[in-house]
Amino acid sequence: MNCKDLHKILLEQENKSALFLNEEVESHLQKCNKCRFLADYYLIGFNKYLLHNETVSSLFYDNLMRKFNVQKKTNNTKLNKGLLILSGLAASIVFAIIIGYFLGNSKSFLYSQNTKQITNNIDNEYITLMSNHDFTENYLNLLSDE
Amino acid sequence: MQYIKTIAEIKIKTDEELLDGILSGSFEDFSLFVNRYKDMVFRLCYSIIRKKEDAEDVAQEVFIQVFKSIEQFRKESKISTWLYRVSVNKSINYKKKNKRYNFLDLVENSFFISNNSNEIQDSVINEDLENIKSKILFQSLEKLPDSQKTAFLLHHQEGLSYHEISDVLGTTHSAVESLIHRAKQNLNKYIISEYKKQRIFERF
Repeated sequence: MNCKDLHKILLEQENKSALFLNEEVESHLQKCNKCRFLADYYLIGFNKYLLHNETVSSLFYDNLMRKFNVQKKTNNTKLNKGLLILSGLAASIVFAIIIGYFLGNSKSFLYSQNTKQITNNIDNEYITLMSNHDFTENYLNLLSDE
Repeated sequence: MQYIKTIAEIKIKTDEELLDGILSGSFEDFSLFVNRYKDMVFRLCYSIIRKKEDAEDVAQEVFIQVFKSIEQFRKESKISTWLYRVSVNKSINYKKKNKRYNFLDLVENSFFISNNSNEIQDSVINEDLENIKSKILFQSLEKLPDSQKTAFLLHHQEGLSYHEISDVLGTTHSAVESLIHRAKQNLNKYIISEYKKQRIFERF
């Protein structure tokens, strides 16, 4: 067995105990320091060499909680802004409805003189039209024909 | 007394209960959640970033991100899977943003290995072989592409199955298998190359 063969076995063999039991592997590792160095990672496990003693510092928690409170306030501000915009919209709609009601009501002080004039003109035209004898007669004739 | 109450709650409250609490803006539940997962998140961030202060910042960002997007969390997957996913994305993005800085750091680290001065060799002799092997492994990991490195760390450091890793990385089972296999292939190459650089290892 050469080094390449051993590296291939290391890559493909998931079962560590099988590696230990393999006599060819064992005899190669006894001769070859380089492969023994590499094989340790596989036989002992990468996880052992991946462990580190670093842990979070004592300030980690305090800093995080400060950020959490800032974020919470930002969220609340966003929510308040949203509510403010919504309530503004609702108030505008209600205001428009009220104004519209008063504008359309002839008894209202908001009912414009111009609108009044237009309405009066229409009314007068209608009365003139209706009082026109010929028109009424023709219209009645038309109805009786039908 | 307050401390004892908190410890008791850590054991009692489930992840779902904590998430519901966080959703309603509970400071206490967020605090319990952080206590439960801070080591896991920091460990992964640190393994990817390799700088304690920066890893802490990124770990904090992970938790704030969780708070911000808690409504989007679908309870079909485990909370740890989601945390791993956010941690991996944040750490890799951080590394990309700070490429120049990481490069300088890498140069500084490789100096430790490639320098053959007596002083350095003495420090290597005095250092535990396991620590040296650990350093070599981490330095070799730095040379891997992010995807291979992440998959490798999730499997060998965090003990996640291929299926879980595929959930975290949003890829298929076979893609994860391939990533880890290629990571090992590359690691073998880098580890052997580091071994050859160091005559000192012939002593062991």
